Amino acid sequence: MSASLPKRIAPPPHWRLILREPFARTGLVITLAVIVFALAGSWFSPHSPHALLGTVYGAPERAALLGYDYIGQDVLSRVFCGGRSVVWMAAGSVVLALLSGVGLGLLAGFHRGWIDQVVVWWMDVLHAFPHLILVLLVVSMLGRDPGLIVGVTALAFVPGVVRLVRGLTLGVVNQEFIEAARLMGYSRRSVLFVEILPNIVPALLIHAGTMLSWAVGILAGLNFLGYGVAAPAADWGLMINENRTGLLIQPWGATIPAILIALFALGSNLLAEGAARASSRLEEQG
Amino acid sequence: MGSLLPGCGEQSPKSGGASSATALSSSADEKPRRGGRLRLGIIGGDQAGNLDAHKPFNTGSIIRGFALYSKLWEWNDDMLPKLTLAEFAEPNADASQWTIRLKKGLEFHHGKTVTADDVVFSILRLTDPGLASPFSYLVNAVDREGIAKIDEFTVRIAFKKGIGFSPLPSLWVNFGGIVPTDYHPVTNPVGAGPFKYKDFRPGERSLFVRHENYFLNGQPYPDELEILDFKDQTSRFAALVSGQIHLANAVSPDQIALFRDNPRARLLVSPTYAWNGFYLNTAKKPFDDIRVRQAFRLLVDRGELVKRVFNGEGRIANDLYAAHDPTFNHDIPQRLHDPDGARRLLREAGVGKLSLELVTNAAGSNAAVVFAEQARRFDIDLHIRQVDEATYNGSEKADWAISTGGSLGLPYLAAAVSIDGPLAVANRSNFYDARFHDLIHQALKEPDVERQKTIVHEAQRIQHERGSLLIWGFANALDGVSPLVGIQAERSHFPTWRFDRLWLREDTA
Repeated sequence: MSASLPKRIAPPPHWRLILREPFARTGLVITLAVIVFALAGSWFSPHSPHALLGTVYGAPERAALLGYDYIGQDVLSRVFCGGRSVVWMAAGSVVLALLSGVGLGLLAGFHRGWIDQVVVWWMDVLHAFPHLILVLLVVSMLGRDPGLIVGVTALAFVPGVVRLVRGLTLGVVNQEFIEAARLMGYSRRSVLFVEILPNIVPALLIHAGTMLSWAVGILAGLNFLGYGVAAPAADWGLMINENRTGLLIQPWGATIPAILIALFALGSNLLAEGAARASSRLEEQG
Repeated sequence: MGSLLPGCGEQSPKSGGASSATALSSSADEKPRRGGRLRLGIIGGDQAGNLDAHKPFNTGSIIRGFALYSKLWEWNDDMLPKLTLAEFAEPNADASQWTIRLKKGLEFHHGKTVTADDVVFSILRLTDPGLASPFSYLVNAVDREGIAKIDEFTVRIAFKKGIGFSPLPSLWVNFGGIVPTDYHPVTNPVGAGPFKYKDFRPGERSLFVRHENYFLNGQPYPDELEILDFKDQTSRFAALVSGQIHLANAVSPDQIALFRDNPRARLLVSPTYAWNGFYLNTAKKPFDDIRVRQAFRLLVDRGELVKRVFNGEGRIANDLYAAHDPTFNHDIPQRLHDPDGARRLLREAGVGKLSLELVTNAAGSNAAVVFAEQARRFDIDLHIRQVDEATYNGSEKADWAISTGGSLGLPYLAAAVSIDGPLAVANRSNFYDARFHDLIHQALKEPDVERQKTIVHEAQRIQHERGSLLIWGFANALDGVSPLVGIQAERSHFPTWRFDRLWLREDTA
């Protein structure tokens, strides 16, 4: 194929462009720091997160720098080991929501007609449930399996992704370069994933960052309410629930995980904000 | 204050928290003062709360029932039933019939005299299948057709199939409020308790005023009683310290440190026989093998569980409930932590690496976590599954191989017929031992405590040698108390619910 296509309306912002945004740089540093801490923390854990070592809500000491929790486990070790579940479950649910939502949104926006109506109708039904309520409903009926929690959290996010992708696709699908691609005999798959998808990636990145912070909130909230990861697992959300009665006695067991969860949410939000600003700047520059 | 039971040799009631035992309990010569509004803060009150004497939905409703309703018996300071509205209650020779006579001159809140008709109405209401009280199982042995009014103040009660039922008082005392025949839990919540209903907002607060014709002369002492609902222990503690409430019942053991050297909120410690343990289901592998059940009873470190789950506020138990009962067999030696013995028994039973699901409700989750960690040292992997209360008490409960459990410190026969005896509705561990069941039936027919002792001693030996309960500890009841309140520690679960005994040392806003 020798003919070249017309210029696309808004090429996706390069990572370098995004990283020029102070918000994005700060967000990336914070998010990466929390992710690295969560994934590599267990290597630095001084004790097993389940070992019963100290007294109930024992004060910090040399052997336990953040003191002991509600049954005498080392808080520092549980903090080191407790981030992995939050990070993989949050990231997993966002990726899953993107994979299924993008496909459905592209399909609905590109084909329109009855496919569009069916997809939109189902998404409206799903959208009627607030995220946390939907997840709570399913998990309370079917159990607390981490895979199930990730799946249901993703399901709660899918309508948002579908709506976004469908709307963007409807805007892109009538552009000249898409028409040209069709005339030149590009396959439907190529048009969808090579021509349309790259044009909506900036908006998707922004939405992904926002979803990541929502996912962190939902998963932490779920664990706090006792419907997420189950004891004796070390998990930041669960730790807040387990140690909240000791807030006035030994606050580290609840406050450190809360701070880490807040940082993760803040970082992903800043990253999304940075991406949005970079995208707007690009659009302004034409 | 109730005296110590002979042979118990255990903790005395105390106050002031773990670090000090200062004089919080009122002394015997301190004269109670009348007046004021006593405020109790409770946890767990929700919109589903009610005032029903026989079908309370939650702990808050049960506590409100202590204010509104009096019973034929009440728990004494040692958690044994004593006569209150009844002046006489005796079984016949084989305990197949009880004759109960009311005191004369008792009055309900609305002025009606308490009569035999009200007693009959109350037991029929509690056991009414239409009401579907979750607590009717306690007296499900009562034959509804066999309840007879003998005279204006006397009632005779018989039991299904003519069985003996000597523990009637210790079972009926729970949720056995005597209410008038025109009773309605919403439009006419009337009883003969120390306080009358004035206002009730579910999930928020309830207000009661003194019943001037309460059967104990001069009591209760406060003019009013207010019960406030809190969602968590921390906010309730803040309310206690700030003087918003005077009492906080059932303080969580991990909050003990807050009470140390705190002049505005002291800890009342009442050693009880509320047991905590695990059900080992004899109908499920591997617990169908006595050796595995005994191995679990040896591998558990009871001292560590008491230290961590009760924060030290409790005592270890010996796989038997009701250690306060006069019939209890104190000659059975305390089972100790014996890792080698446990490993030997597991080996003999052919059990290698073991992986089991340990089911718990919220109340048992801390014990489950600690026990799972202990079991890990024996290559036993206990996966904890925490379920909600409805599931925990639902139809699956007898299908779980191992689950957490616990109960109030009921007297022996009352506990046996509720937990693992022949009439037990909730026999989670599916314990069926022919000799044990035979002994319990014998004891149920035997009203004489001394003769009951011999029977119960053998039954307890069976439970200890081949039973299905791993009972690791008895918890102390912990209550937060303002120094303004006159109160006594006891060996029951209810020192802060004794609304007819509590008083305020001075008026507060």
